[in-house]
Amino acid sequence: MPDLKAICHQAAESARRSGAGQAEAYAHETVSRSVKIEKNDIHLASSATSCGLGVRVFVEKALGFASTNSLDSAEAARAAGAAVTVARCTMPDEANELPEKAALPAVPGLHEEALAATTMAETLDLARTMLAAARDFDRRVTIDGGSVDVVTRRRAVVNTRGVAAEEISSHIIYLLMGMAKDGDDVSSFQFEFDVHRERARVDVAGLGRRLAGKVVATLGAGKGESFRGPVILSPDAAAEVLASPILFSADANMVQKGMSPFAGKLGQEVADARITVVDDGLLPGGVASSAFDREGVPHRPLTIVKDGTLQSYMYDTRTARRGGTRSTGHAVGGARSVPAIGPTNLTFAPGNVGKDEIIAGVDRGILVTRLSGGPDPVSGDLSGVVKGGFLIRKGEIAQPLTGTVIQANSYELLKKVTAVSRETETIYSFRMPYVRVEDVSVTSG
Amino acid sequence: MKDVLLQALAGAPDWTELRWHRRSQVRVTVEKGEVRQAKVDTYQGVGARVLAGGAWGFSSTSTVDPAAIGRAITEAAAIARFLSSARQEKARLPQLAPARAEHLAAPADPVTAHSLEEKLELVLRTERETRAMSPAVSSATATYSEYVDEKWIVNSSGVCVHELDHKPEFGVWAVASKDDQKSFGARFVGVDGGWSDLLAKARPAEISGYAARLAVDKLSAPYPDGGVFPVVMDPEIVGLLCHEAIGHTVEADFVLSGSIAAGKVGQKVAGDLVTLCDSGASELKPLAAGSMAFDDEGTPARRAVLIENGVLRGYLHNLETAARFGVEPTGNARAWEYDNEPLIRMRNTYLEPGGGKVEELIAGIKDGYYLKGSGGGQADANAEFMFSAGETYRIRDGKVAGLCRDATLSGQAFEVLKSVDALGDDFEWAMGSGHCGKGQPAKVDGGGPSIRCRVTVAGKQE
Repeated sequence: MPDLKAICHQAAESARRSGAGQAEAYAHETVSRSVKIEKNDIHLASSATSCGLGVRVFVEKALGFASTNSLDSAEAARAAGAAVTVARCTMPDEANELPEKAALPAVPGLHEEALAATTMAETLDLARTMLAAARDFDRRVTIDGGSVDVVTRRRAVVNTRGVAAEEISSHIIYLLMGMAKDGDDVSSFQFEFDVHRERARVDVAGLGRRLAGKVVATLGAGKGESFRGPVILSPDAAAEVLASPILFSADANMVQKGMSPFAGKLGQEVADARITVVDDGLLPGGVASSAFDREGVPHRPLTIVKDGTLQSYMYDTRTARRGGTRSTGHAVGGARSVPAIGPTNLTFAPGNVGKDEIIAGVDRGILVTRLSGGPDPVSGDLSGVVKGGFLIRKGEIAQPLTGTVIQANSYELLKKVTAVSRETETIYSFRMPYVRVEDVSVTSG
Repeated sequence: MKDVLLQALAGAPDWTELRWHRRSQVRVTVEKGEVRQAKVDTYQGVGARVLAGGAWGFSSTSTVDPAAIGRAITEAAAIARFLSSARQEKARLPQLAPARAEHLAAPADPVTAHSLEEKLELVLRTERETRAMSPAVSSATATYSEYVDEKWIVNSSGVCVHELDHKPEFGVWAVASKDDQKSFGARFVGVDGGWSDLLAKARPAEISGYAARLAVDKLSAPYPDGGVFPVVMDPEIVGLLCHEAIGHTVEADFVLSGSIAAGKVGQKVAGDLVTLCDSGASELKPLAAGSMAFDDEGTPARRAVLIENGVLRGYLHNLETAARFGVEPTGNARAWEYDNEPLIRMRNTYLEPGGGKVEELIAGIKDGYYLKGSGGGQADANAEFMFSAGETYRIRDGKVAGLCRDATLSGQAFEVLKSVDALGDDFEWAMGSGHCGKGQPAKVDGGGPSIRCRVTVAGKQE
């Protein structure tokens, strides 16, 4: 097993000797076992060990970056030299700075030996069980694709200002994509996936049945009605319609570039008082949890929106310096690119009404479980085809919908939230409730 | 490299494919005058795929020496044998004359002959000029990137292919602001070709002006009305429709899992005017960004006619599905990098042009829209799609009447193709920037002429 920290130290030191004022090296080694499902059958299995080294340097405050997928020392030195060569072509930027060393929090539960030790035979068994559960649920279910991946990753980041962090984590991700076919009636295409860090929580059969139930429920879909009114967004749809524009707008880089509609709105109301949004890189069990970000800055919980009021943007070291504040630990990315800004585990706080109660309160509206298309994050303009949607009449699910388009503005919808469910669902690194919003254009035809 | 691969292959007991791929990537991004990305990346290794007992095993190594390649073959073979009991339908290979060829012609004026300084200067200047176009442009982002790929593909059937490929792209994104309103305009171009090929298709001054003007004009534009309208689509949206909404439904793996195109070969699926193809060659016009001589199984990447005069003629295949359907492989097996296994992917997907002028197509519409450029979109296995147009103009009484905010189009792609009643003569490759995603990215292109058809435009309900 390569000593990632030692390789990073060597690369950063090599860059410094070549003329870098500051240098950072990020390295990973990722071991994965994967079984793929295609057209209702096991298709292929693979195993891989991949690695990468990315060197970021500032030469007189000018940025350079080079990466390689080899961890041998000659390659590390070559990448360090290449990064310095790139930096000599770019211009200085006062905000270009690497973080200083900081104490890292302990994050339990990132790596479980029982999960990491899952063999190829066990991975294959999980894939077969998942596929069988979906197919046995209803003979009309057809699975286009799917996979089970068990991944263990070691990563390290070292810089010339004293940062030297290393971590091991593992997870399993399993997913199915498919549809239901009944004669000429083809349901919409749906997918389901789960991610876990603990072996005991893996329930592939449950996922298979969930996907099957979802696609069968959208068979027999018909045209709905055209109106302007309430829409209930499932956790999946709420992530797309409400969470994604918040993440775009809370990105400090977008704020500083004048692209974010949240620029200049700290302390102001950006959503209904029912909305509280927290990003927490230390969330127990969270798939995006880890002690430090891509630059080695410690993770900590960050409240972005509290009771509808904008509290903070997400910063990396560079945007924090420009904004006169501290990094919030939101640098993201891998070995092959300059870090960007992004969320970790994002949670919309649950409300105090049940999902069924929310549905019961709608006289005429739709429930959207999946949306194809999302908002333009700059303007917030949203148009999407409802995939897996249901017409609600007099408080009850009346029929599945096809050929229905919704249109609204996501930033306006955030202020038109009238109910948030008690129940939440985890969608990869997001935890989202059901959310009722008003005044949506629904076109069916 | 060839000798190392052939030597490793010679010792392999099962049918084995070895694919060495070295990719060098350069990417420069400038945002509002600041260099946000300036990188060089190398990524190389060998992917080993083994077919044993009717099942596939795959393993890869970033260490390119005989011992590591040998270990990858052993691992892939062990996985394949192990899987063979689990797999119901056994994979077979077609009988083919194996390709043995070198396709090494670099484009004239290759990107590798241009310095990083020159690439950075292009991006800095384009971003600066985009912001200078109007005080309403509050921000701009310009990007240049290139992939330079070299591959050796060998297999136990005797395939031995060596390929070189250059795919650069370049473009700019402008954001305009007024009070609380924001809108954007963008223009990105990607080619399979050299530096001057790219800059001839993406003239910096033109793309700056286009993106800035569009962003600013949209600020004051009205929203389009909703409903089913006759429209004229430009080559970019036609390319997107061919690729995203039709092309994926005719990928043989999708067909086998029950896409809408399953069982319809020989049937009328589109209007008489519609002939739709996918090719590894840059048909009709040069520089299509999905071009390649051979696919990643070493099969010649030939032209595949998918729909001819409205009749479905066939699907897109790799070796395995070609054997299963009893047809010739079409050369559509593609892998993104050495550590990805080949999947059925499109290359350059297009609609054959006709003889009309765009103005004539527009003149035939009393009340409708002229839709240009793509703002992206999605489609399902049942060919239902949702795209947004990058530029939307109202057509009234046969004339272009004014810019609207971006329209969202939706419908069922085969139904839309049944409604095509006129084809332009203005063929273009227009989808060469960015990537298609299907578990792995892929560089593709798409295009066609302008067409007139009917489509649903999303509007607001009052």
